Amino acid sequence: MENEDGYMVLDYRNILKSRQRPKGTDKRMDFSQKVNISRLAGNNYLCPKDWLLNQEKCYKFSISSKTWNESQHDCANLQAHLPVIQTLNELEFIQETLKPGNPGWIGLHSTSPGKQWMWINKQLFVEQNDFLMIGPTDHESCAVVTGKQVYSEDCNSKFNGICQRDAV
Amino acid sequence: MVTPEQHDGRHDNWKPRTICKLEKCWMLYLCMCIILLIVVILVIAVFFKCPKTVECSGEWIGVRRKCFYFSSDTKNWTASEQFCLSQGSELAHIDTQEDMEFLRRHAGTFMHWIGLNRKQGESWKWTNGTIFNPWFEISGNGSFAFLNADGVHSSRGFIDIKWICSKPQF
Repeated sequence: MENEDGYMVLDYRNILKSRQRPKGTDKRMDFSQKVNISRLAGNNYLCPKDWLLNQEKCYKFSISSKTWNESQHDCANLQAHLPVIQTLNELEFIQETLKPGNPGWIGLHSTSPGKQWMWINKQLFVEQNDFLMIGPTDHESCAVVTGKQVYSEDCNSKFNGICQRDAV
Repeated sequence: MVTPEQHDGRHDNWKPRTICKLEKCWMLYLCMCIILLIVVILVIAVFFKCPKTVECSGEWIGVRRKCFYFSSDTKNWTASEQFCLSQGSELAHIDTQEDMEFLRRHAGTFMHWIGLNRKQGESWKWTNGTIFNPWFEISGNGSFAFLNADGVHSSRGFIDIKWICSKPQF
């Protein structure tokens, strides 16, 4: 698990690095599979086909139940990652898009009991009035979000994943 | 109709009366048989119709010997169980492979609580207290079970998802 985690986080960082490179050299941003780019918003941000655009980020909601690690791997294969939620708007967008009672993994976990929750980009999670964590922070806790709340779950439980990546 | 010549003539008055009586009885028996037959047919008809139309009321779905309720709202496990109890039912108790297949198909991609939970270190139990004979797999380390088309999984029980209630049909 911890090795796995280390690998996952590293992978995510690599993606970040690749994004920071100047656009001309970054061929990975031509969304591999189908070049048909579907969603266009005011500022010309683009997402690959079948992804949803919200404020410069693209989202894909999976409908197969997997563990947190498996979902993270699936996202990595799509050059994405489980969502790192930085604004209330992002949280609201995800919650509105999720169908009722269909929880999805987000990129927030805690590896040891009672310890701080941490985003997969290594930022600490700060609880706020409108972003509370329900449930215990036991060993290997991972966060799922539903239309109503954010919950602490066992990382080996199976839920749908949500993938997030920057729009171009 | 009755011919006295058939008999020795000793009881001319008596014999014809008996034959007449027998004939009447025969008619009566036939009538009774027909009525009985009609009653049996009616009973059979009622018996076969009943389970399909009468027993599961409102939004409950009748499948084989049970009625199932699929919620549209979402709650945590405990609140879902409370809801089922308030409806004279329990969180879904699943006995047969056929019922399991039906529930998973009907649940689709949505997660639904069912009536299995366990205390730490103990085996899974149904909400009526009977121990779960593990005839299907429950994934994960959680203490509360839910199902969707993918199978049966476990959770810590706090998440708000849909649920299924069940009650016997009779």
